[in-house]
Amino acid sequence: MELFLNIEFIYTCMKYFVLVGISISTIELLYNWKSFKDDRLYSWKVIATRDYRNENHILHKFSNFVLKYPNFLGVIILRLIAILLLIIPSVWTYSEAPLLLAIVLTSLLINYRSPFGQDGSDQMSTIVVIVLFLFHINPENTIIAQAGIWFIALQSLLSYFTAGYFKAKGKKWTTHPNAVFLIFNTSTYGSKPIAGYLQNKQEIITFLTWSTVAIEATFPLVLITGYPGMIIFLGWGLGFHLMNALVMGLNSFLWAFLATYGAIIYCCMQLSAYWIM
Amino acid sequence: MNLSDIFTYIIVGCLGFWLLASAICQFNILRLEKFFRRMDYFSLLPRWSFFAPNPGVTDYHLLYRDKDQEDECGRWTEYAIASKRTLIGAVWNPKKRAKKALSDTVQTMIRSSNKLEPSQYKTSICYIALVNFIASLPRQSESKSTQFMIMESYGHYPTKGPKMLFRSEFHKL
Repeated sequence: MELFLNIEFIYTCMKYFVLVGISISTIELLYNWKSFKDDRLYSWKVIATRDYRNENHILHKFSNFVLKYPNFLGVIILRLIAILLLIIPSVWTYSEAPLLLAIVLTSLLINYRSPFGQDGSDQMSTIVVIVLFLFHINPENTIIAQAGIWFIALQSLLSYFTAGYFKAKGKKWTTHPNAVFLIFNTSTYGSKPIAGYLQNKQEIITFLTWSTVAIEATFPLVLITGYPGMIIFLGWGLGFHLMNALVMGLNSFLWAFLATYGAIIYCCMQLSAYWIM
Repeated sequence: MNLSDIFTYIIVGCLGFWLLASAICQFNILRLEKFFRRMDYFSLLPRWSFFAPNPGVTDYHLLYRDKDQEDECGRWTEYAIASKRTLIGAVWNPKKRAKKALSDTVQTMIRSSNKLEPSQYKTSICYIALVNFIASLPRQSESKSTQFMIMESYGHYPTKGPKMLFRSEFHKL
């Protein structure tokens, strides 16, 4: 576990997890290249109507040029090239900051171009790559390195806590605990065999529903549990995201949130060392 | 204090502010959420309330029909929003984004149509994007105009029948 107190190791884990997730998302975007045409769902002509700036405004002209079809495909390809250069060992031997900057900028452009269809994994991935970029500007700067790790860990804990807090306010999660069955029962995010198995098994549904609320809402306690207590929360998180990927098809969440776990372990270990002192 | 120190303070300050703004936006602390979100063009302020407090427990269905040159209405055709779940989808799920995008636009459209006047929601991005999307779907015959409808159903093991949520007027193709 001492390894998790090594800042460079934490950033390396973070980098590989997030890059695997972003590379899958990027290839998925390219696979759907037709949807960015002007007569499709992600038509830039429609989305650009959000921009109330004057047509002669430089930002309007720039965004119009970069984000219109087919130029936008170039943005996605640029992101993929930067990711590949970072992932494949020994290909890029210079500072990683320029490549991470390219990933940050292209991610921001993709976010701007997608007023619908983005999810929490895209947001978490953007947060992680921005912090990775800030770290790689000057890896010797331990203050920024530590601040970045704490920032990622606290964002991740905020995400679990927020999800748990709002679930605790929902009737289908608490007083009538059948949310897990109802979600799995949908075609959009569920699975017919699993819904069929859970149907009329109220005890199991209640357990799954309440345990999701309880662990998400108490997830920030991972910071004070130390080792090996943290394994309960992080192990649950890993199982939760694996199940979401398998049953709900939320593949990118697994990588985006696993990328934050190294930071959570680092903060937990640092706090444990502090309590012992 | 040298330039490096100033840079460090700025970065740490920005991260602190970003974390604070993220927390404010989750819980609408001091009712500042709208203020921050209005400026968030790049989705930097996350929404972490996944499936809460009210999870989506229904499936949306997007249907459309066309009028031909003689003003005869065709039959309703469904464009499937949900895709079949596969094991490989845990790693590679390219249909997820389009499905989520359609789901988001449909949900926003329904909310807008319940709250706003037709003249207001018909000029919204979601409405125009949906009309644009429906118009782009491949058709067998020459059609003059198209209409779409959004329906809601209650999953694999439904407790009640599907219901209609919205029906657009005809739009020229």
